Amino acid sequence: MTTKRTGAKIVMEALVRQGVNTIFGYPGGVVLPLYDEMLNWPQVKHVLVRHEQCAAHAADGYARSTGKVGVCLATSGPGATNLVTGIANALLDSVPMVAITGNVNSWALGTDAFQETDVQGITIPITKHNYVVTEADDLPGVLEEAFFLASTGRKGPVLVDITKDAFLKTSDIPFPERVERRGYTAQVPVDLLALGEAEQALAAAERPVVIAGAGVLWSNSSQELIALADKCDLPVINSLLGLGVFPRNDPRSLGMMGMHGEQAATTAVQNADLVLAIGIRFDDRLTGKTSGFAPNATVVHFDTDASEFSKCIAAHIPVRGDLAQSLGAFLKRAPQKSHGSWWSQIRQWQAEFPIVVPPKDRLLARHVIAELDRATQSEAIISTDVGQHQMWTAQLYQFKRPYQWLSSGGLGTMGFGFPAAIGAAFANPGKEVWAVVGDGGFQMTMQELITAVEHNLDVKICLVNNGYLGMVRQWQEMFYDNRYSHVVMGSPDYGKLAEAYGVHYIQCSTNDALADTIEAARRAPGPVLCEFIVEMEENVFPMVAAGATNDHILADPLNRKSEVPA
Amino acid sequence: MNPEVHHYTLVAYVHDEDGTLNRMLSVLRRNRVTLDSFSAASAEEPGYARLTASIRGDEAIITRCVRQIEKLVCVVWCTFSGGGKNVARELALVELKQSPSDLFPIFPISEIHHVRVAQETTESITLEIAAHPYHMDELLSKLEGYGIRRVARTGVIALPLENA
Ligand SMILES: Cc1ncc(C[n+]2csc(CCOP(=O)(O)OP(=O)(O)O)c2C)c(N)n1
Repeated sequence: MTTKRTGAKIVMEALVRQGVNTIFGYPGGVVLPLYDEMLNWPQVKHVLVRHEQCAAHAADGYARSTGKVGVCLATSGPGATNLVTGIANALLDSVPMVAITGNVNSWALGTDAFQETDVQGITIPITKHNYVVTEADDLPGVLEEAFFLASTGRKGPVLVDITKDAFLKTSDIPFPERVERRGYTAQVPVDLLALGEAEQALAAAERPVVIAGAGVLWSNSSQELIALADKCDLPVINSLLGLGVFPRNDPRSLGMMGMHGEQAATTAVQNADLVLAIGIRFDDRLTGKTSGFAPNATVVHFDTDASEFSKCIAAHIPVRGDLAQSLGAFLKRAPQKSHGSWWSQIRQWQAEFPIVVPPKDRLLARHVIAELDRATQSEAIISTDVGQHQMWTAQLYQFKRPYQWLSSGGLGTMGFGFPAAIGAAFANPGKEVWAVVGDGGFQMTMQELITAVEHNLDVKICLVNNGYLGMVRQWQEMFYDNRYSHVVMGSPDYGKLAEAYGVHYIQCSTNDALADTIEAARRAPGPVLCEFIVEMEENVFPMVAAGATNDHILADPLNRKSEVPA
Repeated sequence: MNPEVHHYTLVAYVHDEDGTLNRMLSVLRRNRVTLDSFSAASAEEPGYARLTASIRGDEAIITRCVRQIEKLVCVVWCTFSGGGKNVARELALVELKQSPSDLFPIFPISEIHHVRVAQETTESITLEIAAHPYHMDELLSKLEGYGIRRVARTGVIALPLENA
């Protein structure tokens, strides 16, 4: 028999049952009963952020760096609405997350009571599922189901909105032994018929490629992918979020494709006769103009989510099923192959269009990222913000394994990088965690410096300061005739800011000091803010302009033979 | 290029919970699918509801919508068809101005289209019409000559031939 306990206690019990050791939150009136109860549960660390958006991003970083469900908590009204960006961000990138919000007493719902907001209504389009709970009796079932939904199938954020009285009421209802939900399949069985077709398509292919995305990450099927590439001699290309699911130092890795992807990777896809798309959703940043995507290829699409098939790119062979299982089964059946002449063509493209790091006469963002990769031996957990620095990190950091790369892909949320790194640092004590951020995005969430200081958190910030909203400036330069409109980004004196927060600060503006700066930051305990003053008007290449097909790649000027002196 | 607009009937079997309708309508709205009617009520099993929506749009977009609706945690299954394959009806209450004695010519129609008199007063008569959705518009236009005061329509409800 379960004894009677309050709703607040049930919430804490649920967290412990789920193995959650850290939650990110911010208190307020209606969640007071939960905050009071929390004091009795030292095994669950609560991290007090300075803005609820950062609670969601930190929970997201916790999830992306571990594969476990991240948990964030906020009060009703403004607390809950501040979570919205972080929840939307998690949905687009399929990040397992449970967001808990308080709401006003159940009898006051609908009366515009103080800090009442229809959080369920607001978050319906940006959650996998959500609940309003007004009875303590419902909490065990709902919370168990929330974690189940967040962490199974195609993962995503689930929000549980709990009224104040539900925290206070008591219940002796036990947690359910198992969760089942009619119409919801946690592990979609493999479509064996389609798998057979995929096998034949691969057997017949002369120029196959794999495009691997974050689906491989979330289904823990990286090993199957590596074995498959090995057995069938497949070039493996990554989407932005797929970085890390296939080791970049594997000779079969071609790196990221798409708008700022490697030219050889994008070109290989354009010339392929078979695309094995594994756990990707064909974002427009990856496909370019869809009508011109991989025009001669048969597309085999592996995914657990049927709504992804032929949503953007026609899937000639959709293979539905839990990815770990379908890749495992495919690996067994797939024919052993080698593709010598295809590879020599690819090697030629790679030699012709490498990702280049320019000469070191002045400090460029690319120098900084390349040095970060070298110094950390490609082993660090890297979180980025959104913009040019994000693309350079994707191009230059040689990610080795899953759960090492944290970046906002779908929503492209500026402000994500630093709080996500905080979440990752809490989840990975003893591991090296870097946030690579721009001067624009960092200023959106830099108030979290104090959170890092309070916990003496080992998180290093690589602030790439180019004095501009660089990515937007680049578009204005290239597509708006150099008319810079509101992209000059003023910054505070980061040295003084760091001092005010009590954060160790290092500034670097030359290549000569670069290696020492990064080494000093790595050695210093606790949070370190490294500000790199870089070239202001550096552009990201290669580039496929928005709306163009992937055949129209603007190469890096350093790769444009005619422009580079011999 | 304008996508081709067609009429479809979407039928879903769902968990009868708060938010279910919002979630489904939210998917249709986001995909800019036109909703002509929507009807929902409890199904034969407790805790579940059946929904029927008449929608208009491009087939590719509607296919995408239905997949996104199927994916909702609150939806057990969802199908759509271009008509014909469903048993479908719509109910309308039509209030006419004239007195009953003027209505004599309607009765031949009524035999075909299941028209019944739901209420009569000295100034008005309210007819109850249950018809296949294809006939409803036609029938209502025939009644126009009799002076329609008010019309309330349920929208289509349907049971797909296959499926549960
Ligand atoms: C919240 C938010 N607002 C606006 C944008 C649009 N945006 C994309 S990149 C970018 C510039 C980012 O500048 P910065 O952080 O300095 O990084 P950089 O591109 O210079 O590396 C902007 C404004 C966005 N992605 N997110």
